[in-house]
Amino acid sequence: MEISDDTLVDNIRGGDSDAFAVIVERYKIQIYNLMYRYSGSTEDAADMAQDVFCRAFERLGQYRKQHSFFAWLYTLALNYARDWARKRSKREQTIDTFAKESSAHETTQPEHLLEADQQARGLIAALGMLAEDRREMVLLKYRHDRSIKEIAEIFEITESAVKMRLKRALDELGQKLKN
Amino acid sequence: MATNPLNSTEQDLIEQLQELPLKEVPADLTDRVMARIASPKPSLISLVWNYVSQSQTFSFRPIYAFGVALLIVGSFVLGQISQNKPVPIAANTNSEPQIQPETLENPKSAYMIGRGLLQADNSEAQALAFLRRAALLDPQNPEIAYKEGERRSYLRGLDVDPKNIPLLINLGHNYLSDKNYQEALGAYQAVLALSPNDPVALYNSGLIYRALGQVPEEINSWRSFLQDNRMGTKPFRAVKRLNGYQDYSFRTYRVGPQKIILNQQALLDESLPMDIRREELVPLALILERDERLNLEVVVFIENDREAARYRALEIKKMIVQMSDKHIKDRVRLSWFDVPETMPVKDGQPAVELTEGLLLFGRPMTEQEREVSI
Repeated sequence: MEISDDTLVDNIRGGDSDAFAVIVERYKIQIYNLMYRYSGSTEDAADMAQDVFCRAFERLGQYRKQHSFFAWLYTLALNYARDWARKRSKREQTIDTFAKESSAHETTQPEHLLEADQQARGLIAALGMLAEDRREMVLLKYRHDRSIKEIAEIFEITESAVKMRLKRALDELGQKLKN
Repeated sequence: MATNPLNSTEQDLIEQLQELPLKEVPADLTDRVMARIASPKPSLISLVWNYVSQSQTFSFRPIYAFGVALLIVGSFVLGQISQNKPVPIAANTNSEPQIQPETLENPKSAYMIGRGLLQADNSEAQALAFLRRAALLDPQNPEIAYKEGERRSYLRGLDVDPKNIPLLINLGHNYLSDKNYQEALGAYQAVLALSPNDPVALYNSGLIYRALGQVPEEINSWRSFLQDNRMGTKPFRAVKRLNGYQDYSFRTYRVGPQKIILNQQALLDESLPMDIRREELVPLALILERDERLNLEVVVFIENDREAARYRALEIKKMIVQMSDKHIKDRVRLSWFDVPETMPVKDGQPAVELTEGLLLFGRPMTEQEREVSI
């Protein structure tokens, strides 16, 4: 049976810092990919993800159990990524880079090469054209399978607003893909 | 006529999102985080506090000042000398190069050294290290040289050991990344001759046949790949492509929170041994065991033969129930129809009808059902 995030947090607060490795393992894909979307660089994304997890560890005392741990962590990561992008003042550029580098990266993994061309590239480009919040909501819901409640916590809006925005984002994505 | 209750366009988009490739996380990320946590950097405040809280004594002696000045000037002069010194490229390429690839910052230098080493015998490994460095420093230019080097290295390896599967696979990847389809296919087919179920070779062969427009071969590749591979993103893509050709031998089903792939053709084929069909149903039994609040709906369509549809549905239920120790009999619900199953299609495309079809889906147990089952 999987140990819950809250139990892990209790253990870490109780001095078992090794339990934090389980948290990193559990959420590293989501956090690393979020950082990659903002930085457009695998190296920067790795450094940023490290910073986020270390910051989360330092601030674990601020986490309150009435919220989802993932939502808390992801909010922290999202704020970090936004600050990072603001400092670099290259957001527009990095979104472009996201689409370009994704396909460039696939060239080193030939089994994905043709798929990147045929399937994912269009979707990645269309996602890059969505407003930042909508893009993240769509990926959280459909790619990372997170609940509406968690997404509402992360973006500090109501659950019905999340559903509405997801619906609009899907319509927009579908439209962009058609075009 | 029965129809699947799916909004195909939106569902299709959601499925594409679910399968969107993610960046692979560096393998050492967790270790790096944990290492940083284990030895946290002292904060600036604590550094300043430690400094000011300790007693400090200052004294000035001319000899010390002279020593510091000498150190600065000496470092400057040494730096100048090291900058002007020519890069010592190994004269004898059989010996270890005197410089390490990581120390080079100029992509052209790394590229030239790599090429030079490539010409020499027994230097592929060193050459590749330099070419990799060149590719890292300037991803645009030396890529071809890097690939050439890599390819040559694989080919030399295969001269010695022509049945080396990892080398053949890498050679295939190398050709495929250049869109050199025929050569890549040759390498993957050589792998399949040695290891007929190799998933990478089967999958990539499918991709190449797709790119070449060889549909029957592509379909065969996906089917072969799916025989033994059902986990991860690639099998789902393979099913989608098969279904795109209106081949529904394999289908994707969502049962509760999970999406699984089943060989529909095998499950509806009475002539196949029971063991094979039972094996297909193992994931369903496991899902039902894990989630006790889930009902499974099994719907069988056989055109113009209601009795056969009923028999197959009962048979599937029997196999699932027999596999489980837990009491799941009441949670497998059956329906059967003597009409073809209509498959969801994209807007504007003609409907696809299966004369024999198997539809499966999970449904959460209602309160009433829960009371009954207790």
